[in-house]
Amino acid sequence: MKIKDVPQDPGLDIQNKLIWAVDENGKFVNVRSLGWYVPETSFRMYWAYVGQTLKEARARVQKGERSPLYYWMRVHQLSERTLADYAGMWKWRVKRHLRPRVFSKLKPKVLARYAEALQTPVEQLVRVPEKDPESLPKIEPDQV
Amino acid sequence: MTYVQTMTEKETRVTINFQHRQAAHCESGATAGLCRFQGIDISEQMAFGIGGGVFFGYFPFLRAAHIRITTYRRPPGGIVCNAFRRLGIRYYRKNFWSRARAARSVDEVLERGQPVMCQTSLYWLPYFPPGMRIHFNAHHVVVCGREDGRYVISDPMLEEVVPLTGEELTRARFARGGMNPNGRMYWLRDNPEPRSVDLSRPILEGIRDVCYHMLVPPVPLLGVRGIRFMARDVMRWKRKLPDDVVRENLSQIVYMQELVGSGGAGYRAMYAAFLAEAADVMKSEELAEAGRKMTVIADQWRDFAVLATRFVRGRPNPGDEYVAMSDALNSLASQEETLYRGLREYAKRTEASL
Repeated sequence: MKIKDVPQDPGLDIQNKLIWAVDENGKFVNVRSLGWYVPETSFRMYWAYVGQTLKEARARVQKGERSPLYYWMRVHQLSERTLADYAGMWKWRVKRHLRPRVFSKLKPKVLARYAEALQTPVEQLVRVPEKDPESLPKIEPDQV
Repeated sequence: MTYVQTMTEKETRVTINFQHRQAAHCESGATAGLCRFQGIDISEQMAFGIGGGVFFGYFPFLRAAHIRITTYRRPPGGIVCNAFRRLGIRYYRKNFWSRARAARSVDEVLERGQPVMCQTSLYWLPYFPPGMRIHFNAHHVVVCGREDGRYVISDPMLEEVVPLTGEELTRARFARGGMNPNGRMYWLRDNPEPRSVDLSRPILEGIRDVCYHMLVPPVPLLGVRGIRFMARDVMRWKRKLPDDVVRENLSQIVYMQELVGSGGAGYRAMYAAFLAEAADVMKSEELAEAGRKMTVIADQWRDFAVLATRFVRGRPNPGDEYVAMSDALNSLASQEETLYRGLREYAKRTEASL
């Protein structure tokens, strides 16, 4: 890749990352790049997928099929297994806690473990917020 | 499960003369940083090449946070250990069970005046933009000091050093999921002392290592055979999978190729730079030629990414995209195979004459 071909499309990725390019003498140099639309598309694909799962999770919690923990698990893009790993519990226990009736009776101590693992205060953890957290990039599937 | 903050006991300030330099790839950048600290002045691509960084592995059945794993490099930690060993740098590597002990160890090493390389997760590092914070557990950073109750982090991806609290660092070091770091850290055994090392043998060992892992493993998912496997898989998708699933698969391959670890073109561009630099060290026209070929290969990997992305975006494209992608991969596989075979011969021949 020549220096003039280094892509400069700003996006979700970190700005000013280094990219390898060849200068006019055939020497390799590091050039700063703002980003490239190709990996950007993959990124947007991923975040669109996360947005979809959040929408679905929200609907399921509101229908009473799943507990709010399910929504927060999706916010942090964790599977049941990794959530169990983070909280230091068995997977079957986490899966049980994803049921609303079990979750509503959880002791504060158990909730505190989830709060610690997900870095979310307990008050937030016990219900689904009106809006998805600000920190997540919001990409609609048709914006990919 | 409580995180232990060591800062409260020790507010002292530790400054280490560690020179931060931005790099294209985290692990090789951090390795080169430590080598420079030790007194061996090598570039990032040199650390990458000596560590034998280039690889290919295709694991469609493994997923890390929803992303199918296609790897273009050796497993995390390989570059560090191999580069240090081949350069004759003595180092320690340690994993931890206890968070408290892991945090304390960083302090102890810092107080001895040594920087610490830590394996962390991108997800828990707050200085990255939110879009980048994914569950990727093999990001390497160098902790190079302590100031105002915070650690000074030299992250090879960034232009400047950044502060990070002890709690944040520990959380990032104990991320869970695939490839969990378990608080793994590396630090140097000896005090820094400027020295000049003959790079020719480490370079040859690094090259031989890469050729071995790209050509030899009798597993169809690894090395050059892995690229061919992926090419066949693309054709299989045409028959078996609906378009949107294929889109997702392709976007994830591009994701692993162009984003994870950064540097672009699945590390082939960096390897080309290494070959060019190695050619200068070894004064070998053959290596320089290999470097130029690698540049072409890197560009073709990028072209493949463009092709795949065009498919992902659903842009009309004349001809059959599946065949085009599969052909591109097959041609990359044969080009890489020829290149590595040549390099292997070269390394064998030169090593015998050293």
